[in-house]
Amino acid sequence: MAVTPLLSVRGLGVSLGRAALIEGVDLDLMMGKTHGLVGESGSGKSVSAMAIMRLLEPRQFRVEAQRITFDGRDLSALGTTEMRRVRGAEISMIFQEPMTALNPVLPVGEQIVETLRVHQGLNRATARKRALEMLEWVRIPAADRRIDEYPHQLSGGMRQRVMIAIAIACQPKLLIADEPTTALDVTIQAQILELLHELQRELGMGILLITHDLGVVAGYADDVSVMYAGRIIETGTTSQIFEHALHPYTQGLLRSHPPVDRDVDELPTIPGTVPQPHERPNGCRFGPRCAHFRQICDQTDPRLMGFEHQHRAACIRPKGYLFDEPLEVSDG
Amino acid sequence: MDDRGTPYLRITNLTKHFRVGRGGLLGRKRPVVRAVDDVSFSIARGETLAVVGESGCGKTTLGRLVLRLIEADSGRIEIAGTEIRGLDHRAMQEFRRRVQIVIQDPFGSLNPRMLIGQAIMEPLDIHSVGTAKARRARLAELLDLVGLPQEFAARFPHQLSGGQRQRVGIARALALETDLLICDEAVSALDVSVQAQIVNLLQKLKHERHLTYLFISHDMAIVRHIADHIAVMYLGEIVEIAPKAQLFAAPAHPYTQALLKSVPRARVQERPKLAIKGDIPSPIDPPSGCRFHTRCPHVMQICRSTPPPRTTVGPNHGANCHLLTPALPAAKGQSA
Repeated sequence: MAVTPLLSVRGLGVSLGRAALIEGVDLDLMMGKTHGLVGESGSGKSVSAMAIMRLLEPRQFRVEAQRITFDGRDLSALGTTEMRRVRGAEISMIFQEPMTALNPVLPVGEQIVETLRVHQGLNRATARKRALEMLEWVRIPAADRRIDEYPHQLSGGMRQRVMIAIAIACQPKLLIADEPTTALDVTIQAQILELLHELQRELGMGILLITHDLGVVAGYADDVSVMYAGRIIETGTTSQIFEHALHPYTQGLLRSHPPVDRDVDELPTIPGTVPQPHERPNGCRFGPRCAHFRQICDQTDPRLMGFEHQHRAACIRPKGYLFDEPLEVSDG
Repeated sequence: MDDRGTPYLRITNLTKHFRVGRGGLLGRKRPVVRAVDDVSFSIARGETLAVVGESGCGKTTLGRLVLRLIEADSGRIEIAGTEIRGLDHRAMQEFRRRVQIVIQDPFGSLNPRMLIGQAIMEPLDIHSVGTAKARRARLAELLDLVGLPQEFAARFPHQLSGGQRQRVGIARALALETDLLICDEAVSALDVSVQAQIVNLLQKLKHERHLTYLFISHDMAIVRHIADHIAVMYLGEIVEIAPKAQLFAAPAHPYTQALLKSVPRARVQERPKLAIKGDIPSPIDPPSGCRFHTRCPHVMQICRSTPPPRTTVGPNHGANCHLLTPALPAAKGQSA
C-alpha cells in the first residue's frame, strides 16, 4: 500500500477477566474510504471500535495492541486529555439507538452547541448559528424549529440525523458508525445511508461502518473485514469478499442472506451458533460449524493468510489444505 | 376476495383505534391512533399470509386483535368459519388451543425462573391436557420437533442462545392442537445464519403439520421466502394485497415499489434506491385522503382529499391507489 492509511490497527486484543473478547485485530482505513466491519452478535465488532476509541473501562477490560495509528499519531500513547481532544473532534462515533445516545432533557440544538463549544471554543451565538447550519446540512426539515425540540419529539430517522450532525460538527477525519441504521425502517435506512455517503464525499472523511447487514456493506463499503468469534477471518475489497469469498463462514453468511429479488427453494444455513468467548473451540474457531471440516482443522488455528492483492482469509482450505510450509494432511 | 375454498382465517373490516394521552382542557378530544383501519383479508388453510410494513403501520396490533389479546372496535374475525369476537371466555379458551403466537423476543416472553421444559408444558397444564406421563412424552416430542436436544428441558432461558430460545417459543406455541400460528417478527432479532435456521424450521413445520401462518414482518426478503400471499400495510391500512409472485413481479402501489427498492442487496456497489423522501407520518391523525400522499412520488390533487378505493389489478391482486383507478371520479360508473 503506497498511501498511508488514516487509521491503522495492528494486533488489537481485548480481554475481560480470563475471556479474550477479540484477538489480533488488524484494520486499515484510507482517508475518504469506507471500511465495513461485518459479523454476527458477539463477534467483537463493537468491542473493536470501543477499543480503538479507548472507551473501554480500563479497570475492567485489558486492551493491548501493537499499534493504533490515526493520522500519523499513536492513539495508544496519547494521554487521557489528549485522547479526549481527539474524540469528538477528529474521530466521531454514531450508534444504533440515537435515543440512548442523546440527552433526553436537552434540546437537540444545545447538544450540537455543546460539542462546538467544547472542541472549537466557539461562543454561544456563533455555535448556535453553526448548529442550525449543521441541522440543515443533515437535511432536517424546518431546522429552525427543530433546533429547540427535545429528542422525544423527533422520529427515529430524525434523531439519527441529529446524531450525525453532532458527530460531524467538528468535521472529523474518521467517523465510526456502529449499526447506524439497524433500528430504522428500511425506507429511512436508505435515506440515512445516502446522507452518510454524501457527507463523506463533502468532508472526505473515512468511515468505519460496523454492521451485521451484508446488504448495507455491499452498497457502501470499499473494503470489508468479516469477524467471527473475536477475530477477523477474512478481509479484502468489497468485490473480493462478495464475489470471491474464500472463508466458509463468509460464504455461509452470504448464502443465508435471503435475496429480495429472486426466489430460493430452501435457505442455506450455517448449523450451530456463534460460540461465546469462554467456549471457543480449539483449532479453527469455525471448525465445529464448517461444512468443509477436516481433522486438521481441529489441530491448527489458521490466521489471516494472503491470497490475492489485499485479499486475506483465515482458512487452510483455499490453499488446498496446505500452509505455506508443508503440513501433514490427514485426510484427502 | 379469495377463490380457494373456505379460508381458515377471514378478517372483515377490522378496525381498532386507540385513544392516547389526556384530553385537553375544556373537553378537547383525546387524539386517536388509527392502528388498524378497515382491514380485510383471508388465509386459506395451510397457507402463509405475510403482513409487511414499517413502524406504526399496525401490523402488531393486527396480530393481537386476531388472538383477542386486545378487542377490536368493529369488524369480523372468523376462524374456521366461526366468528370469534362474540365468543365468551370459555369458548374463546377452546379457540386459543388452535391459535398461537410467536413473538420477536422470546427472552421477554419466557419466565427466567422457569425451566425450558416447564415453559413448553405450561400450555398443556393450563388447558389440562393429558396425564403427567403423556405430557412428558409430548415434551420430548416437541423438543425433537423444533430440533432441541432433550437435556435442554432442564435448562433456564438464560442458558440458551437467541435462536434456541426462539425454538422454545415455537415448541410452546405448538404444544396444543395449533392450526394457526401468528409469527410477529419471529425471526427479526436473530443473526442471519440463525435466522435462516428458524425460517427453515417454520417452513418444515408448516408442511408437516399443515399449519396456517399469519407472518408479520418488516423484512421483504424474509417475506419473499416464506409467504404465499402478502398484504402491505401503511398507517393502519392495507394498501396492497397479492399472491407473492405477483407482488414481487408487478408491485402496483407506489409504497410497495418503494419498500422493494429500499432493501439493500448483497451485491457490490448496488445501493438501496432512495425511493421515497420524508418520514413516516404519525398514526395519530394520519394524512387525509391517501395516507401515503405526503411521501408519494406520484402525488396528485385527488390524493390529498380522497382515500383511493381498492382496485383489482390481477387475480387476487388489489391495491389502493388513484393511479390505478380505471377512471377518475368524474367518469364514475364505468366498468373496470
